[in-house]
Amino acid sequence: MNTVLPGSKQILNIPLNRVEGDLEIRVEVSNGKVQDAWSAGMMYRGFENLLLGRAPLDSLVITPRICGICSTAHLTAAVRALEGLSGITPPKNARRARNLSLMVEHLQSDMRHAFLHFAPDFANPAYAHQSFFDEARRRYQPLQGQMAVETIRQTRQVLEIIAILGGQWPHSSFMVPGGITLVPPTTDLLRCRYLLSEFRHWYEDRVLGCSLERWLAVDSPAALEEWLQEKEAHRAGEIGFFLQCARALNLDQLGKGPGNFLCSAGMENSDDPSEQAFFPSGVLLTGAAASGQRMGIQPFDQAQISEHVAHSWFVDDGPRHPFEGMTRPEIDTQNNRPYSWAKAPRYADLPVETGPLATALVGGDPLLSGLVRQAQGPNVLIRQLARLTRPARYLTQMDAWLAELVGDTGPYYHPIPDIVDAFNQLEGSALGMAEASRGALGHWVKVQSGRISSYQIITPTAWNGSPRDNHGRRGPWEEALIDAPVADTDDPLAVGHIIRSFDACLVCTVHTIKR
Amino acid sequence: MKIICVGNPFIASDSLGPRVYAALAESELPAGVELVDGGLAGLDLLRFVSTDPLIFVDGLCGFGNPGELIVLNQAELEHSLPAQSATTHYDHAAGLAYLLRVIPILYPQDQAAPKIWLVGTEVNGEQPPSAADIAQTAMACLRLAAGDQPAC
Repeated sequence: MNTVLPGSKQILNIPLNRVEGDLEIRVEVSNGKVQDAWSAGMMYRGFENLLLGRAPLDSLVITPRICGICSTAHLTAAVRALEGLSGITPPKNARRARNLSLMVEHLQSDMRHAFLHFAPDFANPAYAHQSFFDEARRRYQPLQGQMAVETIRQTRQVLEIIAILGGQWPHSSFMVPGGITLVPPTTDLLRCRYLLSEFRHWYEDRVLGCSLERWLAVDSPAALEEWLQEKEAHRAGEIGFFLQCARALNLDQLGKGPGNFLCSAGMENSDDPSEQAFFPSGVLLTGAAASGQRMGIQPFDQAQISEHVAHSWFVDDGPRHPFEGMTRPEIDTQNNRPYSWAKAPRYADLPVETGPLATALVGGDPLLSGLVRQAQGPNVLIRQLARLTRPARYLTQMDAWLAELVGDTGPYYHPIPDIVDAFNQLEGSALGMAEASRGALGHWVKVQSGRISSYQIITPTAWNGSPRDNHGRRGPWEEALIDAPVADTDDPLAVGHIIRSFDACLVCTVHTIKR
Repeated sequence: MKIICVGNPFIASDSLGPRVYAALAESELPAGVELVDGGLAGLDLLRFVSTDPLIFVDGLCGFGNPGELIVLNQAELEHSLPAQSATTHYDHAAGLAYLLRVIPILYPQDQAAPKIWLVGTEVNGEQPPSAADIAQTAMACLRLAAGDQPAC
């Protein structure tokens, strides 16, 4: 075990495993705590530039390849942008099928993150003295733990729903302007309902330890305590066990962050703008940095977004809205300020957090809002609880939509005559927003003479894992790391807990099997 | 039986699988053999896993001399896969090695797990696979699919 001597300081470079992609965290440690932090995305992707000069419809094939975990979210954002550009509205059945696919993607991502990325930390040998340790090993030990194995089995099965509705997963391109490319027969829809019910039974049995209905009645911090006391099954389920571990490790005192939250798109199911989406978009500004801004939940306004690159390896011509932004990589050896390939998106010039917690808070979820109020801000425990319980907020609506599809013989596609020619003559600009597994995702596209002249993408991890902005303000998880305890510089556990609570995703590629 | 070819056609040293896929797609496969372009799907290839025997095709690094054909059965795989966390922890880089570790544990003891082979040729640094590499790997797959254990 290595520690930093009192009164001295040390810079730690921490390559993080069990996250999606190449992430390096640098922290300055003094007096046993993180004093400063820098988050670096270590791979330049260049998808935005790859799209330049291409036909607009190409974005439906190229952008889902950005990520193997959230390809449906990228497809959703891309098709919404194209529909905005062309003024096409998909029929209701297509919206249901799209929403269902996107939500299945969230289910698999949330469960894999919870039990394959986050929870294995509870089985870290550094926690061998904790009362939960043996049980954590039984549940989460890689390739052996009960939940590790069951999570792979269950997520493999539930993903079949996207394969049925979308032809394949990941990287499907089944959403097109005007709808989706297939009409699922009733037998396929019934198979989807069966697969969803199988997932629900597992989720209730293993994760909640109770029925969906019982869990959804937990509507305040006090009700959560009552639920925990009510039955041994509640304490033995994954939610109950997570709370036991998280409280023992004081995860409710770690990882506060800026306290500003963004959800940029809900699940829309109607042409009627007065009919609220399944969960609403919006912004919640509560952080100290929000002084001068209107506080509380307010409508999402994409015009408030800008991207800063002063600390990124890109040509810096000041903060720009995505419609005006460019992606011009540059490593200036005379300028040592940049440290990341991620840009720094800001909302109303502020760093904001996005993800399941942000979505729940913007939607006014009573339990999670109550927990944040009680703790005077977010933390690792609340952030992870929001992700663990998101399927509970989804499953009933998902089954209702599937049941509606079974009984609705309406179209899944509004035909567009000569669609390729039509899109190759388009001019204009549009954006597509989608709720990805990790939060707000946006695609901004400009088309001139039927060719893409600008394509800018802001991913959830760009929001959460951004470097400093032009004002020198830290990104959300950089800020969340401040004051994190570091007892052992060889194994900075709290740093891992905090970063993983945001579900980092900096995607990469896969190479040959190396021995 | 399924032959699942994995790799990235745009990275020379990782392109053996896609090139073998292209070669096999031009060949006459034995009856009952399904050819799958596994790309970079990693754990998502579980969708193709049932009780049917599986042949995975990929470029290999550290298993032999450059250009050497490698055929490993299930028992040999268990001793040959690297032990580092990339094959035991799930993350975005959890590719074929992780998948090969996962498949056996998904089947309870009372269920038969599929037979698995890993077939590939040792890569030569950053070089693309040669025509001979592709041909010998494709031939090994065809022999396995026909029920023969190739000498290698």
